Amino acid sequence: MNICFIAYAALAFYFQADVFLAAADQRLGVGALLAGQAYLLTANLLLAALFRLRPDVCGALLQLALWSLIAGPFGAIVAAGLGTFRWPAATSDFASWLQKQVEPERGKRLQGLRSALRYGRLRIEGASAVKPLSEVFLHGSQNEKLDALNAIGRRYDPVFGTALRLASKDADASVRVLASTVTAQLQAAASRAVAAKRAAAYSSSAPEAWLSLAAAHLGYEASGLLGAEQRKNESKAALAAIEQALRLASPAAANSLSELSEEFRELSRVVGGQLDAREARERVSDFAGTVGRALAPQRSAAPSEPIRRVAAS
Amino acid sequence: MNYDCDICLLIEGGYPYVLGGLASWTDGLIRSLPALRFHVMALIISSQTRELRYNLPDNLVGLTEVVLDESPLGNRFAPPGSISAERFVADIEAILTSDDGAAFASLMRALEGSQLGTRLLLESREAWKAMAHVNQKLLPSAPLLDFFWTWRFLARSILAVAAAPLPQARVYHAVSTGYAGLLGARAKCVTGRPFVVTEHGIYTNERRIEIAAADWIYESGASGYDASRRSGELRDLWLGAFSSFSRIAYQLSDTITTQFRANQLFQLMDGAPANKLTLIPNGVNLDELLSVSPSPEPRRPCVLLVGRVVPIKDIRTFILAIAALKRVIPEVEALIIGPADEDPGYAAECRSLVEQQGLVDTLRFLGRVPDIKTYFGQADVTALTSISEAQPLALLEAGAAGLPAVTTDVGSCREILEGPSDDPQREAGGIVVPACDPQATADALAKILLDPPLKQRMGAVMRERVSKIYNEARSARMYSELYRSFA
Repeated sequence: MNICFIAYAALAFYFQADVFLAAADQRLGVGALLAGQAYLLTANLLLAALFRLRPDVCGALLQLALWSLIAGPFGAIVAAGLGTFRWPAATSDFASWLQKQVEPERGKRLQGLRSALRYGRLRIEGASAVKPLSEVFLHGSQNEKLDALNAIGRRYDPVFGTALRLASKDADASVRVLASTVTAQLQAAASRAVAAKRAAAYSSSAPEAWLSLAAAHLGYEASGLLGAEQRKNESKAALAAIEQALRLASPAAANSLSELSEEFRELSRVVGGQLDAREARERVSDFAGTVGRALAPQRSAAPSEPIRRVAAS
Repeated sequence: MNYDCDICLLIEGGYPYVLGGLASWTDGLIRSLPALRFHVMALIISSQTRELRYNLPDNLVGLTEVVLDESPLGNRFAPPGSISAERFVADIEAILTSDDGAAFASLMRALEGSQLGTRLLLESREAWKAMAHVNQKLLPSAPLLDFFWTWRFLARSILAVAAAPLPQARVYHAVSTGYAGLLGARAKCVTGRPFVVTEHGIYTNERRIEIAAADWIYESGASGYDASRRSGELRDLWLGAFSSFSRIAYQLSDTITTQFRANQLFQLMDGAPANKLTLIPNGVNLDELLSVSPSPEPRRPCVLLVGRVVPIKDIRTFILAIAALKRVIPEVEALIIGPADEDPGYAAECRSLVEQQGLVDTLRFLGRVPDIKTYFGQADVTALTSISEAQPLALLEAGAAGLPAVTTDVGSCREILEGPSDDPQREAGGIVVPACDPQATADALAKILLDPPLKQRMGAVMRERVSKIYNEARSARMYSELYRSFA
């Protein structure tokens, strides 16, 4: 395309130069000059229409038509330059180029991670042989089990809690010991976080600090590391922290919070009673959200002194 | 031949500087064989506190420290015919990866009396080049700097083992594999004297667990969640090294002893020859323990835990279990007897947890006590929440004193409580619970405390079992016979 286009651009240049020189020598009038330009423009547009299925040729001819109209013979030179040199961004489809650059990387890493996380599974033997964690702990070798526990310990997610409990009942003592070690480390980290929030809450009279403690208890509850009874205890502890937050609420918040006291009493009753651990957590968590929202508008104006007992224990 | 001692005990990171089960066992072994003269070689690291934690027995005639991270500098140039830096690096590579004892034995003989040390073998240009080559070969994806420090620590430790002054002993007895096992293997190579390995916990397993849980080892993370296609990581080098150390000790030893059968299976898996394996259970001194009887004075129901306040004992679970137990038996009392100075941070966390759980009037930390027997008489049940154990002496002592137990399913705890397979006494002396499960521990404790006849029956079973199988005199006799068999 390049040689043909350059030859055509040279012809256009020659034609225009000739017409302009003739006009300058007054051999041609203004009407003839305009007719010549119109002739060239029409020829270029017709050719562009003819090559409409070849976007690169069509584009170059349109450039030639435009630049010739603007700058006469010099425009033909500019158009020849633009049409001859390939500008990567201009000549290729940017979206498909970007796709091409990103896809392999995404395929390798994101896809792998996404697949590994889906269903809370670990891929132990590569993509062609997906091994669920439970299978690793039921039938895997000692090294596979230790590696899986290592991965769980490093990138713990609550969905791994079941697998961790399965590993802690393994027939192989080393697997049991590592599972217990990982569990103990994770539990220690979680209870350390609760202890930090507790220390902050006890040294503050801000209800938000107590709500934050409640959130820490609920987080520990949902960590997948606790048995049913302990989970319920964490929900109860969260509820106690919420109660303290209610006690510390400002008088401005008192009206809206007093409406929650009945709900609080009901929640205390059911959390201590028949509710299962998950439902208890969900209800306490919802209630914490409600209390948090009720407190939010008062934050800026909240005085520091505890004013009024809103919730009855 | 004139011997400096009868038995040279090779001990890594323990007696006489650290308190604990293994250290107590070592002290007990020396005292139970007064006719033999012992020498202890304590393998330590430079940062370890070297304060004696035991009154040394009279028959302990010598104590040598081997500091693993302080190997000798040695000469700058190798005399003709001695080992080159390149060969040293090649031997170390074999020792850290795949040795069955041959490369180690050859290296130890080559280094014996060579006056060579870190200057030529680790810090020379040739040694650096050879090490960089090994890095490329073994772990090309690991950063050279991280590889270097790992390599340097492991190689220096082997040099320290090679340079340690060996007393002339009739028998060398390593109380674990690892570096103690390597020192015993070296003693075997250069003196030709018998070499015994005793493993309480399986060293390779303990290191495997420690390394798998370690967050200080560089890991590229390239393998993400995929465990099977893991590219080489530094922790593989550590693991390979410790497996290899065990194999070397097993291959060069004459006898390998342990306390219970499950351990032997691990030893076989790690390359121990079956014909060298022997079982010698731990023992406790029964003379005073059998006479312990429950205190007649009225008191609160009491749970006792004897152990150091360290993460491996999972004191946290014990505290949470007591909190759960208190909801069932409000007047319950709990005592923790054992030093709390080994991990002050953990001890502080445990104390804070006691406050958080509202157990200040229920649970007390008594530290190290002069006479534990007094407390056995005042307790109703003993608990052990450890994550890892071998054959805990604390459990055996409490059993001899007639206390039933609640223990986690670790080491030989189940065997102690429920009896070995060939024990005609089929009754259980306590309840085994899963590790890290406060509720299960609390339930088991409540079951025993709320049922006095069950408590008495279990206590009697424990007393009978311990006095029959786990008594110190029996254990001492077995070791004495083992040592004599080499004469």
